[in-house]
Amino acid sequence: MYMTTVDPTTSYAVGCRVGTAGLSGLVILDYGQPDVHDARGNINMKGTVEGSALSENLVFASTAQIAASVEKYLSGYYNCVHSTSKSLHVGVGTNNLPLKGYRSVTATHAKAWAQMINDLDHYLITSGYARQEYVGGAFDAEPGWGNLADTRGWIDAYASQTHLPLYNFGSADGCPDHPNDPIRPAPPATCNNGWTLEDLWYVSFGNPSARNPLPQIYLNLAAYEWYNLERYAVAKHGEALPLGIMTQVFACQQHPADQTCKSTDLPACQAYAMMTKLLNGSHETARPIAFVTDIGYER
Amino acid sequence: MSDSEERVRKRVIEEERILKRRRVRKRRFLAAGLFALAVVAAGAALFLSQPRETLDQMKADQDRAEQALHEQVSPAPKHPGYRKGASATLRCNTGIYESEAAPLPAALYTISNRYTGRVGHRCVTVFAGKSLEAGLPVLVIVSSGGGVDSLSEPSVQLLGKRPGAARIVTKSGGLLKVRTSSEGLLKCRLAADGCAIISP
Repeated sequence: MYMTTVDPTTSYAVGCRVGTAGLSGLVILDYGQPDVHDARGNINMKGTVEGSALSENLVFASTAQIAASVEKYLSGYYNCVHSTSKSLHVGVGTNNLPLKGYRSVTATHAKAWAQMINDLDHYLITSGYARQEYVGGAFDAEPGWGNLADTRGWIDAYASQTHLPLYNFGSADGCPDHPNDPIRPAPPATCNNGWTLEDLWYVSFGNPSARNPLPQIYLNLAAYEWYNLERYAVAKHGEALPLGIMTQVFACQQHPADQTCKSTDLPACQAYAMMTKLLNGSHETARPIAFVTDIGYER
Repeated sequence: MSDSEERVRKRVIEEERILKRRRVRKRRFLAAGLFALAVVAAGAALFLSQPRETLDQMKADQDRAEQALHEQVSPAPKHPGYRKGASATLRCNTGIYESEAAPLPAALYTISNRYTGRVGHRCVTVFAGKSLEAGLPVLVIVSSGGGVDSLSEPSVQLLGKRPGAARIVTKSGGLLKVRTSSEGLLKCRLAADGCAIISP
């Protein structure tokens, strides 16, 4: 869910809606791009107020405001879900796209994000919601978006501050996208922007915080890219790891004029079928798909 | 044998004794080294023969530890006003009641009024009001089958996205008409576990 607001009322209502529907599983609340402001409220990379530029409107929200929004979401889910056997994992997301003209994907930002996740986990435990809710970070890491060193630096800084999970819900753009592509560790670079398959493996599976990535399978080609990453994981690291699927049909319906949606609105059921077929082609890569989700905007 | 020959003989004997002692020490040292090497090799063989934990297993272990921590937490009451267990006889006084009283936490809800009536074999009560946490109009629906432990978990339905409160206006057939200060008049079809909105 692209969160375009940190309004507590909306956040509670969204959590309550998910609870009322009786949903279990993993939800990503995507709060947009890393951003930092100074005490006067201006964008300032030397500022001390870490946060995010929210999706769609780029309104700044500090980590404190984001935490308050997530707390309301968690409270809404807990109070509205009927069954005590349902449980929800919530990934609080940002991404590796720097603000235009700034270097905002930093270790300092990652540490602030990790601290926010620790605080939210503490909130779940002290509020008594912990039996039915879990929290972690989420990171939309895309080779074409971010400088590799900054992206890996962000992830390492996050992992240095918390034991809680980090879900990658990014892409593998530019990576090998044919089932017969040779799987080369490094170098030469095999994805966009100088990223190697090893880099993407580390971002999605290998780093200490990585859990169940939710790759963007917006088109068939993306399924091949992630299938090849799993092949690489088997060849280089000896095991395929579980992953989920994210599609964007809902987001495309909300943005009917978006021309890129014409080729990137693969329905979740088709993405699931495609990914399952590819992974099940070999016993080494055969893993059940852990989660399937479709992203949209919450306004 | 002259004195000098005797000294030479003693010296040779002494040197042989020293050399013998050195050889024994060397053999002992070599044996100790071989023993240490054998111990290290055996240890390494034992380590390598153990099944190594995969990355997947390691992460699963961490997740289990986190889950165990969460499961130790006493769950917060969701709606402490509701207690399981009701009278064995199903009494259901049908009607709309203009009362703000409700077995719901006052910190979470302000109640405008309620409707009570039978749906199938259950007695359903719909409380209409405002969710204080969300600031939105809300319906809280609970039903009872009359037996012990037959009271349902409450179903909470927020109405719309704009702040306000809800009030039940009429009940006709299976439909409840609800007026909200933000969304106007809404109709919903009443069931034992909720009220499905059928018109905006």
